Amino acid sequence: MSVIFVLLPMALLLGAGFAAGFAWMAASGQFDDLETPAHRLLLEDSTGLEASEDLEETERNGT
Amino acid sequence: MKTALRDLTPAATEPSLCPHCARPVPPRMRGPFCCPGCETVHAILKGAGLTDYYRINARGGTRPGTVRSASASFAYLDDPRVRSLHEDGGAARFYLEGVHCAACVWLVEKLPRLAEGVAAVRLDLGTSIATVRLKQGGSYAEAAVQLQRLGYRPHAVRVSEENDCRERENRMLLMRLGIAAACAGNIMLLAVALYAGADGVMAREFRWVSFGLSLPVMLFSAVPFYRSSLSALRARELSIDIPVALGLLVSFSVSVANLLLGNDRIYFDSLTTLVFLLLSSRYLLRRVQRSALSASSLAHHLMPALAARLDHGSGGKTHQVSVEDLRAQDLVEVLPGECVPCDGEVVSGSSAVNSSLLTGESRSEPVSAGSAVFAGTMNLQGPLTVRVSVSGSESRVGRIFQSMEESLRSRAPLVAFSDRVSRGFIAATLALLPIVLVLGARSGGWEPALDRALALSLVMCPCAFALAAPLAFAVTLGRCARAGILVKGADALERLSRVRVAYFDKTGTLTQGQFSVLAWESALSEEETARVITALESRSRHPIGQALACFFERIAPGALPVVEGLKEVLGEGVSGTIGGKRYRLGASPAEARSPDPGAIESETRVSLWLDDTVIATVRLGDPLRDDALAMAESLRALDVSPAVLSGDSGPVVSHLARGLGICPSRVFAQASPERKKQVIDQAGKGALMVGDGANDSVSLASAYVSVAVQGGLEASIRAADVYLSRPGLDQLPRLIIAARETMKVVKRCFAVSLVYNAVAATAAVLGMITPLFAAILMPISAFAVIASAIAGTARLRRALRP
Repeated sequence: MSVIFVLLPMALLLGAGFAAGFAWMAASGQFDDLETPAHRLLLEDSTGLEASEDLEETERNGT
Repeated sequence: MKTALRDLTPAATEPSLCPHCARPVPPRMRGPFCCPGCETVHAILKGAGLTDYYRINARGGTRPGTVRSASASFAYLDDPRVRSLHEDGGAARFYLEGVHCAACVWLVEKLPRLAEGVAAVRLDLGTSIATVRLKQGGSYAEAAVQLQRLGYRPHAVRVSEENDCRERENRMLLMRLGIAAACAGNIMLLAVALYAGADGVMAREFRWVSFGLSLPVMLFSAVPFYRSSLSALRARELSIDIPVALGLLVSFSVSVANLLLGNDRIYFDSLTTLVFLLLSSRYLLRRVQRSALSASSLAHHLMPALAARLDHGSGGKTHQVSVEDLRAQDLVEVLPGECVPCDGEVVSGSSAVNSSLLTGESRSEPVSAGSAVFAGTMNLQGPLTVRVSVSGSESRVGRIFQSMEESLRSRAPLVAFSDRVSRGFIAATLALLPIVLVLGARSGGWEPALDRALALSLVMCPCAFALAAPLAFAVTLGRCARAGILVKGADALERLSRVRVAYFDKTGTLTQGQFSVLAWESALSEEETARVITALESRSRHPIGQALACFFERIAPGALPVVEGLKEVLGEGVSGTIGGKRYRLGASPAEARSPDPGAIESETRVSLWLDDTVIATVRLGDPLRDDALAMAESLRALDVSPAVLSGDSGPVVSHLARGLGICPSRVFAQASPERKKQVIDQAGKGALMVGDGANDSVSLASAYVSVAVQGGLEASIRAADVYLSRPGLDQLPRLIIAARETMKVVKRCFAVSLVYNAVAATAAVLGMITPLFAAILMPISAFAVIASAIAGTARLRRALRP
């Protein structure tokens, strides 16, 4: 059972990592608009490659 | 004179539909498109390989407005000074008119293919705001022009402190929520082990870890509760956060004390769960409020965003600037067909303006040097130079929007009631706590007594009760706004739900309020008459002229003859020379009007003169709206009796009322404004007045609740509780259904939360529920009530589908 003293800190660290990740995502505004992306997903056309590049660039710039 | 009264049944041939906007194509247009604007947009899309738009958008495209020297009017966006006002982090935001569906998102975000300098665009469907990011050396003007060409009129949104602040707050709330969720979840896992009977070293370890995990929740996530309690205490008021903050602090201190003493009574699991669930319901609330009506978005639709400012000493050269940049004493040029951008005084030029936005008066009024003009009025004839006195939110129309925003915040009696009840709850809880504590301690010791008091302080919090009513009203108001119905405030909605009799004005409310041709006779051939009249009136802005042009162009489609020396004289009509013959079109002289038995009093006659002989006469009138009968039927189905209140003569009104199945005892003809007010006053509670904002303002203002269907914004908003910004009488029964359903939702929420509070409080006082159970029960009940307030009822959602 003493393995729990190793597992517990590891689990907590992992959890903390995810919590920090979420905080960063929230701060960068990824959850500001929850409506449009749902539509956007369904609208990729034949030239989807170009469109997704546009989107990625916008995301990198943190809009 | 050969007279032949022609029957005016519409042409039997079904018009074809425009491939862009899917509207019927008028026969005048050659080719498949309904207007040059649609043709342009179609060509743009085709050229850029974006025809997928039509596949995605089954309903038809956005109809482009008139584009007036587009590239010039947006050039100001690239002015470094203006740019700094709008640009934030390399991107500028534009509010787009006409965004309505997923296909708009698709099309707007394809902008980089149409405008070279644009790197990327993101459109937020909820707020209609597009964020435009440029490449190095790109131009916002170019982006704006392309957006305009696609039919989405862009308005640059200024970087504002308030918006930024709200956005930051939302993000912060989400962060607090996420941290609370992570900590509460982990503490729960440890708590399960503790409840299952872990002991010894492991139990001590787990308690300390729970303590560690509760710290971020107490120190970061729960901060809003402390803050709002503190500010409420400072203002000597009771807020629903006070019992929450109190409960949190007490349970945390007790837990820490017990942890140090080695006891097993710790509440870290309860308090973190409480914070998480409460934050979730608040986040939900914010999400809903975000999409509710903001008066500023309305202002975007109705007010000009740009003004042509005359530069000093440049010899009449103008410069496009944003309306907000206008200062008093600036001179602006207003071309015919444009909206006046500011309140001010005409310095030079003479023209006619239409101020129907403000007053609802559709007749144009002449202006010349020295006349006062107001923002939002339309210049009809000649160019004007206007000296600015005030603009933007200071102008007359700007102040209307502000007062509207204020009245939107007014609270319904039901909301005020729920506030009073919640305050009573909080006071009762705070008074009960010491009693429970002392009595409990006497009978069974401090520890169980503390448990009971904690559980009580948690379950008694009237969160659900306090949030239900304002939320349900806000949701319905937001839904109404999206459907084009502007409701002045929650109290108007409450009154609408009690309507029993609906009084209608006739002209413009039950009828179209617009002239259309009823019958005509002519000495010339049908086609020739139509050609001449269409040619003379094709550029007219006068309501009668437009009705004539609209009607006759369907009879004689195709190229129009050239008119020489076309002249429009206000109040007299138009004249011009076609093929060497001099024609004049204007109101029939009084003696020409024969007392026709079938004639309706409100009808107008127009004659066409060749030199000095009348060669054709046209009768125009105001027909019943298409959906008036259906509306009367649905009102009766809702147990609301329709009634007519009109200034027109008896026979006309009773004929119309019979057609609508309105009982003769509810028909009031030849009613002066005073008489109308009297009828409305006698009707008292439950009387709904539906009318035109301008002419019926007296009866609208004195009615129990009132709806303005048309007429100017200013008069309507001032006099009436509801303004229908889109045509269609069917909105009225839908609005009444929505109001009634909203009241049902509120009552449902009240009942649920009161029963919950009573049952849970009793259980807590009797020691039947633990603090952990209370901490879960309370937010879950709040959550359920809030979710039910947002969801409303199926009937409510159906009624207000945009």
